Amino acid sequence: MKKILVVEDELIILKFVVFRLEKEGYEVLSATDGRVALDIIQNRKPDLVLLDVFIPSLDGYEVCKCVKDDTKLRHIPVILFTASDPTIVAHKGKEVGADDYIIKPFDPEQLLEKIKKFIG
Amino acid sequence: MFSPLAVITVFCLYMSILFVIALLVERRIHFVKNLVNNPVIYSLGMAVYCTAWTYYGSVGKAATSGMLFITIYLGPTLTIIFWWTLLRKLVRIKSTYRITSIADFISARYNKSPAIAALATTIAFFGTLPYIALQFKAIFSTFKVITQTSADSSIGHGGNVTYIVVGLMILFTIIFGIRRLDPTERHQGMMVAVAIENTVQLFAFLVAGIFVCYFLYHGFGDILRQFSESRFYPLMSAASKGNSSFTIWTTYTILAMSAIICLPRQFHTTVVENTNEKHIRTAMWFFPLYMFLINIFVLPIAMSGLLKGYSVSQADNFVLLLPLYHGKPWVALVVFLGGFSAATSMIMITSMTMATMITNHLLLPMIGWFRWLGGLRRNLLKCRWIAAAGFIIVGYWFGQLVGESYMLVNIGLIAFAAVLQFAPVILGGIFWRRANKAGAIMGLSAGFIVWLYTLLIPSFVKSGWVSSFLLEKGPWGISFLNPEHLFGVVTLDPLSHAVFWSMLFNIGFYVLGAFYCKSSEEEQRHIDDFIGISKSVVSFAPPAERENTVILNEKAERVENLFKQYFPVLESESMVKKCLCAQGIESREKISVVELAGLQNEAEKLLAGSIGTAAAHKALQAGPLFTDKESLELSTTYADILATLKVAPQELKRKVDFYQERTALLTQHAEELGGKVRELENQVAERKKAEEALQEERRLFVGGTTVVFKWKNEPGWPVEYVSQNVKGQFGYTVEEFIEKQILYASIIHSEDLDWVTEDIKMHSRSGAPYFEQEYRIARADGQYRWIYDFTVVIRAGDGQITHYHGYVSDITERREAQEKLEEAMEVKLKFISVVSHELRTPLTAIREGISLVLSGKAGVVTDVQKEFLHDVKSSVDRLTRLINDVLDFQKLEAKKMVFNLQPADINSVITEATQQLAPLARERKLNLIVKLAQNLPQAKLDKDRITQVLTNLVDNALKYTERGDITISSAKDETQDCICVSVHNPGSEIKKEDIEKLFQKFEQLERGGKRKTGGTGLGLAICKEIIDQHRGKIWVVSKAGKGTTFNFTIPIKSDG
Amino acid sequence: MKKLKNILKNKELSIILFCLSLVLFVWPFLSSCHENPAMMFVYLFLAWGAIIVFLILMDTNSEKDSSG
Repeated sequence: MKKILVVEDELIILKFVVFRLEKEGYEVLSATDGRVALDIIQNRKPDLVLLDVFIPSLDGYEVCKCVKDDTKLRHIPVILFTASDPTIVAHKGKEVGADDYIIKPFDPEQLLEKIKKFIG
Repeated sequence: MFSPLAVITVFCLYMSILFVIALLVERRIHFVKNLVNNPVIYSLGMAVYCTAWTYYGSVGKAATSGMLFITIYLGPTLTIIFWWTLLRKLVRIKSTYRITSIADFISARYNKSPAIAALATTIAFFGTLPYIALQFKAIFSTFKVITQTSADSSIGHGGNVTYIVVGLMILFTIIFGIRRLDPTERHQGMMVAVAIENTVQLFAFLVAGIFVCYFLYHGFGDILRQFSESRFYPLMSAASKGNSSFTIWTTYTILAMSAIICLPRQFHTTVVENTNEKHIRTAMWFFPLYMFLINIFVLPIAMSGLLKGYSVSQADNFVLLLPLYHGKPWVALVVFLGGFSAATSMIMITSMTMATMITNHLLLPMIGWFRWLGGLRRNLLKCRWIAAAGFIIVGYWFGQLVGESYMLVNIGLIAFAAVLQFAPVILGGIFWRRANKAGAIMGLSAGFIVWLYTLLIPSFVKSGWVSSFLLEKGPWGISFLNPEHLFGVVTLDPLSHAVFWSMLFNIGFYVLGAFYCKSSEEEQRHIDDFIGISKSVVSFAPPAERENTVILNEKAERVENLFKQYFPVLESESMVKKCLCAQGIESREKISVVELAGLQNEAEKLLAGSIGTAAAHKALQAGPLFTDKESLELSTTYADILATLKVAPQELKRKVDFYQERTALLTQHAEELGGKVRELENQVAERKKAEEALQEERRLFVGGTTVVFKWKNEPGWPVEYVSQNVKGQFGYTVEEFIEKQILYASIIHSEDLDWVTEDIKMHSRSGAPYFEQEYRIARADGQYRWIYDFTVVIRAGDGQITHYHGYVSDITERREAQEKLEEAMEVKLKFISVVSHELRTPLTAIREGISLVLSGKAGVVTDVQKEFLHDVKSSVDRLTRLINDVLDFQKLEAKKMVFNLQPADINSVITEATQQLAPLARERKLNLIVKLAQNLPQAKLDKDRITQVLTNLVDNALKYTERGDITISSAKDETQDCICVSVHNPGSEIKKEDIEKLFQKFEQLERGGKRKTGGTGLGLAICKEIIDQHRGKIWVVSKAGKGTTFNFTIPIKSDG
Repeated sequence: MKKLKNILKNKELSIILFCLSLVLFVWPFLSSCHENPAMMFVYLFLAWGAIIVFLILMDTNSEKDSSG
């Protein structure tokens, strides 16, 4: 089973997303702040990270950067997950090495498709 | 040696040639024309001073008394030194008063007195007649010599010669000397003939001299040496010694000094015949030179004559004898001709001038006394002819009468002594104001009488006509009154004695008369004119305006009648006209008395030219133009004028002259100044205009807030010029920059200085003519201000930058405003960001939740639930779109839409977008058909944004279509080099007027008047912005029945 | 040369020249060579020539002089 880490500080959204992903058959880990997320990534090494940008302690871009800088973690696909201006996200995302992004509110089908793209 | 006939022929021929030349001159034949008015002719005319007495007599005198003869020529040289002053005065007087002879001159000076004129004429007569005789004598005796005829046969041929010569003389004199009563009394033909004769005379003598010196001897030195060794030497030197030698020398010199002007023929050629004052300058050296040359051989010839053994008594003819008997008879002929010339020229001139004097001063007065002679007036000219002929004949006869007596030999000096009497009256006349008529008459008379008594009578005695008792014992035995030893003076030789006494009496009475007798007012006036003649005569215009009471025609007729007495009718008429014109009254009917006086003056002047001033004056007095009444009126006029001025007449005239001249000068000066002032005014006006224009420009340009700087291209940029408003703008004074030399660089903000410097360097190198900068400078109070600097580069001719011209404006406020704006913008964007995030987050939750439930993964959902949830989901979607639009709108406003242009394949973008929109289309029960062109090149585009555009367009299409297919196609547009995408929906139509508004913000088309579709109406506006940013175009085509197609293009080559 | 010209232009020169001539032609120089006619001849003509030269110079140097 593929492990997906969902990092999101809005609990409601987190709940829904976890629910959907579990229903799809993924193992879902969750975190509500950056540091914890990083911790989990380093320890649990998920197959994909769904990363919200505006999260406390360490923001999404930083986490992504850390992951991508880390040779051991680099291979993990990171999808940025945000309500910000897509262009800004695209730009910044590239900077930190994110693999893709999706804008909230999102189309669930689109989300699933993107995930499937990376980890099947 | 020569036959008489030959000689006669020669001199007749000679005279004919002269005649022809004189004629040509008179007729003004062109090539001869220049001969007239020539200073050389004038100077040669004067040489008539050298007569046959000179020619032959000098040698004679030299043989007996050495160099004494030379005084006759040194004397004139002395006088000539003063000629520039003296002679010029005489000439000017002559021109003003139309003087015709020496007697005329003297009488004119002394109140136009006829008595003086007559007296002078008499003296002249006595002085010249024997002289004429001498000339004839010389001609005949030399004729005898050259033809070697004896005294007896001289009667035969000699008689012929006499008649011929005398006849020739009369003829020549009359034809060329007395042709008309010419007012200017000049005789050009005669003068030219005389000039030629004098040249011949000189030439001949020089020939003789050269012959003697260089052919008979070996030059001057030879002769002088030989002579000093000979026995003659002591004789000559003894003769030149003696106590009285010095006295004689002095006397001779004095006589010669006066003769050069006082001899009638000299006065005529020197004064009367002068046409141009400047000629005098030439004559001043020419004539002495002539005399010098003609005398240089005299002593050598005399010496050689003596050396050759001729007797002293033949000395007069040495100059002829020597060549004749020593190998060159032709030279002798030339010499004869020279002597002939000398004699004839003297005869002609003297006769002519004597004729004038006799007729004017002796005859006319007599006519005045004896009425029956009145008819003669008309024939004045003929009278002159008779006078001339008579004079010549009498002269000849006198010569015959007197024979070879003492008298003739010495006649020259006796004549000189006679004319010497003129010297005091002439000199006094032109230099001494007090000299008057009374004195002149007394002096002249006294002098003449003394001369008669001390010179003439003794010469009669010595010639044997009067008993010698007179000379031995004195008259009636009174030795005190001995003519040659008057009053006991015994040490002087007769000539000096006579000169002494005659001068003493002459000058004595002259001065006496001047002091004791008063001269009349009229005379005073004349005197002033005479003496003041050096200054140019300004015509005196009477200031007073008088009534024109005199009828002109009457008076003109009177004047004409007067003229008719002397001249033919036609000439009289023209003369009258001349007078009227000269006064400027020819066209008037009536004139004033003052003008009448002027007319009288004019007439008198004109007449004087022909009959002499005295006679003319008398004539006009005799036939008065003025009636008594008029005369009275005239005197009253003058008196009035004088009375008001309280000034004496001569004083008045002097003042008037002075003021008139001054006025003329001042007027001229004023005109010049006026001209200059106008010029200056123009200049000032122009300058003012230029100034104003400049000021206007300055005002407009500088306009208060822009400060103009001019910097030198030197380190720190010293300021060469700064406009006044720098104080108002930045608080600095102009002096601080210019005088205290504050460097511009020092007021630039330290942070900006470096890049400003670099910037300037860069622009300077690039060769740009100007550049702009914005930086900060410190104000005088220390505060920094942002300034906009527009700088113009000033280069010198070689391209080097010399200066910068800067226009500096304070833009601090603007910049602050700008910053605030930017800040506000920042805030806004931040807000947008935050809001977008905050709004979306809950929306996400809502949507996700709904979606999950709808999917059935959270449990079974009933249909009704599904329906309601679906509705909720739609609302959420709508809300999302709304937020997006609003946020887009903000970005649009802020122009802050960011595009991420990347090369991409449009087809894939279309495909993706279509997939996303497919569900929406299905809901609407519409089909999406995609027609994509193959092998489209990549274009730079922002994927998301283009997707947004497509979504929008398809969305709109779906909204406005009931049924049918919506076609999305892509194609390559070759002509525009871009990719064209179209979205077509059939069935709907957009009206033309709506198409314009379509892409505007908030525009929505109504469908059936209801706003059913919802939305903000921003969609197309945003699409337009997006496409614009892609440098593409977006437009719509719509036709009824066909449908609507939205098209947009994206350029393949992106140039941005 | 100019100085000389200026001298020549001077009107008083006439008087000076006259006095000079008087002295030369009349007395006392004359008396020195009174005896010898030959010497007198030479002397007089030289002096006379000099005066004439002066007169020529005066003429050529006063062309501008029109009044006086």
